Amino acid sequence: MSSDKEKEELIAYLDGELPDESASLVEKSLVDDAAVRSDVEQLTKTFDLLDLLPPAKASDGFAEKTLTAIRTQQSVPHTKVTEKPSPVEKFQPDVSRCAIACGIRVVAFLGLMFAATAGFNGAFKQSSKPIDELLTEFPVIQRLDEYQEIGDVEFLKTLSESGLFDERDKAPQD
Amino acid sequence: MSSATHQIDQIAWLRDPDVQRMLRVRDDDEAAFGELVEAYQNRLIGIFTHVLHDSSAAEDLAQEAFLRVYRARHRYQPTAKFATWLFRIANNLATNRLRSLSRRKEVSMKGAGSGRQSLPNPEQLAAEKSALMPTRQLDNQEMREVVRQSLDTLNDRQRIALLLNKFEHMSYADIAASMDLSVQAVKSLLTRARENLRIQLEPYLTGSPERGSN
Repeated sequence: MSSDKEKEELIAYLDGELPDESASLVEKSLVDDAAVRSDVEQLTKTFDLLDLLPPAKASDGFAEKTLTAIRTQQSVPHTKVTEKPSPVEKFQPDVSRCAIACGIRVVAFLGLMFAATAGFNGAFKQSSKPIDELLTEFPVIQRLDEYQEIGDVEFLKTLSESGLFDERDKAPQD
Repeated sequence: MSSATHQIDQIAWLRDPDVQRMLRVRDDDEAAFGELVEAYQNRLIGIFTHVLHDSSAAEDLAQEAFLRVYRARHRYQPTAKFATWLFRIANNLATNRLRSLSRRKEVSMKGAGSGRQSLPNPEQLAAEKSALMPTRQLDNQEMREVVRQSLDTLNDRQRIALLLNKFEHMSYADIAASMDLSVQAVKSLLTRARENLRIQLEPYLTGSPERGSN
């Protein structure tokens, strides 16, 4: 059996990684030595057996899920996702981190409230992409508190038809 | 590396179509990033699957690798082929995951060795198989399982280097860059991996327990 060094040269030769001079020496030993030829045959065949391993295939929607994950990360405000935090980031006050954490919790809570309201109005839907829905509805979620105080659309119509705001527009009070 | 050599290498890397895509990603071109995901998803998941034996975990890690690429996009400098950089990220993720799994195994299996799995004695197995089957050859499914198990007898670095060599057709230099090793270290790693594979699988080639001559 070849020595470790000889095996190393043999395998590098099979991988096309030997410089010409060393490759010539290996080729000479292949011609002269049956044991080396036998080694090469076995190394090649066992290496080729790896082709029996089943090829992997990404599940359906993998690329889309990955892109959605990226968009989700981008939509979170003031979140820098870098592998190496810069020296400036290390000194950012904890307040901003708390604000980010609180902001995320508020958005999540409002998102739940919005979902409950939508269900009451018969708009209950099961979405296979909840993150996408939240992203789409984010402008509404942001002002949900204000919208809830208004009550309903009928009240808004009534207010508009009352002319109350027309009078105010015409004659601003001092 | 001389300045001229470095410039020549840079020009070579810039010719890599995936480097060009990544430069578009650097400029926030999401479509270009989608193209890279489509091009590499199966390859990444394949490597992770063979390393972790868990297709779900493999997809998680593949997604994490892509996320890291995207996060680092504004700092991207083409100093190597894109695949080399991507698989360097993949190697880091795989190594960390394997380390974490190994720690969990050591905790849950106190006293048990956390070393490599070993195949059943190939001589015995070959004899059993030959007794059961009309021929000494195993069918593809059985052989696939034997190959998978023989891959498991390699240590983590040998396995990763071998997979990059076999399925990504990476040069020793690219494997070295991906695994943060010297070229000589990769050469030694692959030699041991291929030799171990040969020892495990050789009886299944001939169907007999004969070994190669020494």
